[in-house]
Amino acid sequence: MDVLKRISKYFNKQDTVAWVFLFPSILSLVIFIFIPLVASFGMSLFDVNIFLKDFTFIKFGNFAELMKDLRFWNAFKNTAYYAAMFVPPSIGFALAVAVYVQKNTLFRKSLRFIYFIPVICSMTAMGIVWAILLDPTIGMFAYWARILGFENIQFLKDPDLAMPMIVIMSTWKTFGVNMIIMVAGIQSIPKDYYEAAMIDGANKFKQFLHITIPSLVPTLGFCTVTTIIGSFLVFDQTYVMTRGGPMFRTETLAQYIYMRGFSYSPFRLGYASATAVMLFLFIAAITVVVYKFFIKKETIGL
Amino acid sequence: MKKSLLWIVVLILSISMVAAFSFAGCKAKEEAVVEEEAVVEEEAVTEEEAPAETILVRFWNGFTASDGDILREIVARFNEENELGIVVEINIMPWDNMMEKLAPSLTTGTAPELILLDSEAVPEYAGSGGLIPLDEFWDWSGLDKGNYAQNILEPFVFEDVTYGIPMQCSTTYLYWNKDLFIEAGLDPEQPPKTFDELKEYAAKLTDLSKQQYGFAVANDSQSIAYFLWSNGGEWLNSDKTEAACDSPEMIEVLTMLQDFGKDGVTPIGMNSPDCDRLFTAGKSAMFIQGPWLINGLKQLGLNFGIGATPASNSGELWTPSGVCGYMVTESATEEGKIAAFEFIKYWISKDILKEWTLRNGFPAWSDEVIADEEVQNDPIQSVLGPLTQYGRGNIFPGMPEAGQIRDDYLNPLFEQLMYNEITPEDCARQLAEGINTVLGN
Repeated sequence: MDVLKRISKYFNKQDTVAWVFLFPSILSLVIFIFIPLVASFGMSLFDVNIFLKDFTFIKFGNFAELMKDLRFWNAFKNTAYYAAMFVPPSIGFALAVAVYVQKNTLFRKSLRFIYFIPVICSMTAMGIVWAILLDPTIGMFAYWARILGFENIQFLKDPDLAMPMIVIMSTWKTFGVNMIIMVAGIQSIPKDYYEAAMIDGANKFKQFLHITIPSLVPTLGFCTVTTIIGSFLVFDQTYVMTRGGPMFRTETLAQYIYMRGFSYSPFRLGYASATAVMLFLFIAAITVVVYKFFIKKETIGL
Repeated sequence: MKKSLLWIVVLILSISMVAAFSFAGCKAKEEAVVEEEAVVEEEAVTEEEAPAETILVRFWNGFTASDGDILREIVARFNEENELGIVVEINIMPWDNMMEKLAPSLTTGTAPELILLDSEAVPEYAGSGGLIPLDEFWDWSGLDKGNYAQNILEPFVFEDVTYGIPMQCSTTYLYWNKDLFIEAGLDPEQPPKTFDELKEYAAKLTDLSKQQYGFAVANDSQSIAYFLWSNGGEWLNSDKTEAACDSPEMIEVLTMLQDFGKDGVTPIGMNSPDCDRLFTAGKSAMFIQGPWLINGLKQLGLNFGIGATPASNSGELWTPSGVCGYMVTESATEEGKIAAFEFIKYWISKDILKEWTLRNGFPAWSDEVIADEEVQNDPIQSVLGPLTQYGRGNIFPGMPEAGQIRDDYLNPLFEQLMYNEITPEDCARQLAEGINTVLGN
């Protein structure tokens, strides 16, 4: 009995209980995030291929090579281009829609549901569907374009159009997440603010500008940071829809890492890891900057 | 605000959990079905007093075209007929995907026992490990090695060790759509014989108002190789140490291909399966491809012809050809290896090779099948069989750098050429520079 008591006492301590409950999450974090993270940092200093047979320590050799690798800089440019085109509309569009659907009527609730559907679909499956829709010979969009008098638009096969098409597809696919978060944010703004503004004679637009937006800053900050991080990791859609083509114009950093490490011989895992480390540093830097910006906005107000 | 955010997080988490579970559920179900099938087969076998245990041979390949259906059929027949309890579990996926899955699975020891690979991949994989030497196969099987064409067996030998047993060999042919030929006022039985005729016919067969292309060209090193060799050019010098492709022959060929793109004779940015689809949809009048579309086109009832690719204007003709072979990975146990051998032995028997040749159009490569009367009288084989002599093998045979040259230089530069971003002269020069970089010059 004594033993049991002692055990129950041990488990009744708050700290212990917390650790017990956290254990499954921590375990998966360690196995799937921390260990691979450290391993890829380590591997970036070696010249090693995927068969992991001969490790040659080359210090920062991979990084030095990366700096001169035109395809790496091209992938970097593409990723930045994607992020620049993807983040503003996904935030802006989500906000606009959120403002409309935040009222709790049946119709607007159903709209919320409908806009969220693409989010829960698999990106790969949606990528394939869109690639078919955008096919220049058999695709529906090409057919509509022809009806409207645009002959021969190549969509994903056109070097200048491919990335915008992917941005459109990705925005459609993912804006639902931000929208739902913003709906929650808007709904939690106290109603009296709006009443006071109405009494002061502020119109809807002014209310939106001076009440909704400032109160939403924390939410907007959260959405922006997560969307930026997500946009730098873009992979599935480009891989499925264009495989980085035409002429590497849609090859992103994540895809370049994959290609170098897993797809192209000689499967340079060390080099791919070095690229991954660079990507990690970019994302970390940008996240810190954006995060600081929003913290400032939050404390001093808009 | 905080509370509703929390609710959203809970909602998202629960949705993803439901999704994950339903996936897991599907998978578990699938597995259960597979197991059930295996059990049924096992029972069938036990009745005939055979071994109580099944030996699983996982088998990956990239036969996504219509030939894959026949391959599946033959595998199913083997599973049914063999008395050793061997179950070959075939998994067909696009070649690219397979190659991407293969490398990590070899490292982690989770690769399938049996794979099909082009002989071009042998030097690379043999060098990095992962494949079992198959020299013992011939002794084990008791088959006469002399019955099979030596030039088909050889590409699988790397540094005197055999890593693969051929499954099929093929070269490339010209497919043409007879209906479109008739519409354009051309004789459907007379495909172009020379490069000049090809250009002339392709222009006549192109009608952009109907989205109809005369001659579809895939962004693929194979396309250049055929034109280059036939035009008297070479990729490498004779001892394979340096590029030799910055040549007038190459520039001539690249100019011709670029013009096809400029004139709208071919759509741009096509890969090989894109070309297949375009031709199958009746949107391209001609294209060059291996024999693997024959079966599918026959089933569709498309009125098509297949024959020799056009020769150069001086009459020379060389096509890239490939040999695909069975390879056994290091992930296989001793038992699994022998089971895989059994299937390979079944495959290279006369009946199966003959069936593959007759139904799919792949040329025969064993003396028995070549001499077979039915094969000799087959309308497609009588045309395609003799064309095997023009096959010149892989572009970079026996070189572990082949994949790297192709992925890093050939295909990207060719793509730029077709998109009109570089001149044929620059393309030829950069190709040579790229090859020299990889070769370490």
